[in-house]
Amino acid sequence: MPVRCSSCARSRAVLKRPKTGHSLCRDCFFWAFEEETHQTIVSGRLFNRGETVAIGASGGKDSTVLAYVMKVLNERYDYGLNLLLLSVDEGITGYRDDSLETVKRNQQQYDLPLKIVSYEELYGWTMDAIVKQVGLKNNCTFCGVFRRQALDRGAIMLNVDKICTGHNADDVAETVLMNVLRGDVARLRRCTAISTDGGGGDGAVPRCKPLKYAYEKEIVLYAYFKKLDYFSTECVYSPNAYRGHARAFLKDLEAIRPSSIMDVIHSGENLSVKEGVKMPVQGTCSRCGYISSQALCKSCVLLEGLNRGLPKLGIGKHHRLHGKILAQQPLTPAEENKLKTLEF
Amino acid sequence: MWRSVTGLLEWAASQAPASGHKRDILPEIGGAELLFDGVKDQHVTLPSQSKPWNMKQLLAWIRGNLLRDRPELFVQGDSVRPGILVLINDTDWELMTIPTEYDIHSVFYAKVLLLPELQ
Repeated sequence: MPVRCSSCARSRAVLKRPKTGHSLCRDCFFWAFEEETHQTIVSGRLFNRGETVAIGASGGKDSTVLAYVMKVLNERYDYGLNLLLLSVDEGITGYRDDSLETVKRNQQQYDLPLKIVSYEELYGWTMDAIVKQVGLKNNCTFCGVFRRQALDRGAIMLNVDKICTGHNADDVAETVLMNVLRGDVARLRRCTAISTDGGGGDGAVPRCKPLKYAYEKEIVLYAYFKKLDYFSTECVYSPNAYRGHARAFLKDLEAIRPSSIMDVIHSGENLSVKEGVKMPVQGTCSRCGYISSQALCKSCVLLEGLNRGLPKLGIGKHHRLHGKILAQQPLTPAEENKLKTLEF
Repeated sequence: MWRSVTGLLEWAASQAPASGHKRDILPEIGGAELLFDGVKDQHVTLPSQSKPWNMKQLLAWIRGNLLRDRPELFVQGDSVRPGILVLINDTDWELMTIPTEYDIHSVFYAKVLLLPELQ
């Protein structure tokens, strides 16, 4: 009772594609996956000849597959790109050390240069130290904000023209749902963009998501059948992350109707914002020059909070207190209490 | 006559955190092997029965015999939780018309790939 491949009709099918419902054999699957990524790159005009492109590499399945496919396509279609791997060490013992070992193996396997930047060297704080101060509830906020900047800084150090990340269709759909659930209209409008242009000011390097339309299931199976080396334990601090709820919901939807993931992305791409809705204006941080919609970028606010022992600064809505703190004015005891460590 | 059916269950996509590292404050959820007492490769012998075992029964058996705590992270209803991929003899079980009714024959190899971020 083996199923025939719906593409070549010769070999035995090894998977059923959630995107199309087709049954494909190993070789036809590899071809389809690679060709579709190539189409995404070409139609999105993601790269230009001669550019140096940093691949955000965590050692996980998405970035491993991205690095592999980028290398294959760069050669097959002569994109003319200089590729390198860029990794961020957040300082999470037992998790990041192991995944960085995987990236180092990827460097050998794919023969690409590798650069690692760490939170320790950039900010003076590891995630382990941050979690000790902040607790378990909002630590992902710190990590996400810091990582984004860390990637940019690493890219600037290497004179990189673009960064590409391994965000897949499931990730983008989850982000759309999260932004709806949180009422974050500004992000909702931006989050489905396949490239960001880096905003003109210094500090942000343009980035893109070549795997934006690739289902996570296909990425996992591509890596599995190609026997790619990747690290797959989840971050030990993430079980409490809000994204997990959006993810569980999306997975249940996908089980009923596999096209849900593409459809949510499609909805996100085609949303427009009502007239008169107040949107933040992009400027630069007055302290570090990074791209920011407030006077101080989120990274600086979070760091200030950490360094002062006021970890809630930057979490939640304490904008009125921000101004006071950053102007070095003293806080009342009541105000200080609001910003101190959280109970869990 | 005891006729046994042997199945090899291999959790193909998880690695345990570095050994010896303890986190007192978190329940350890992450990586399939933690649901299965830290064991990645399992050879199991299923008790014989008149009709062949099918996947639904196998999953129920796994739930009853191998899963320690949090069975709901692995099984949901008759099948596996959404997000878990099952390969039988290196083939996506979704190719079958009704995956849970696939009959297990004398020897088979099932690999379960877990997408990370189990919640």
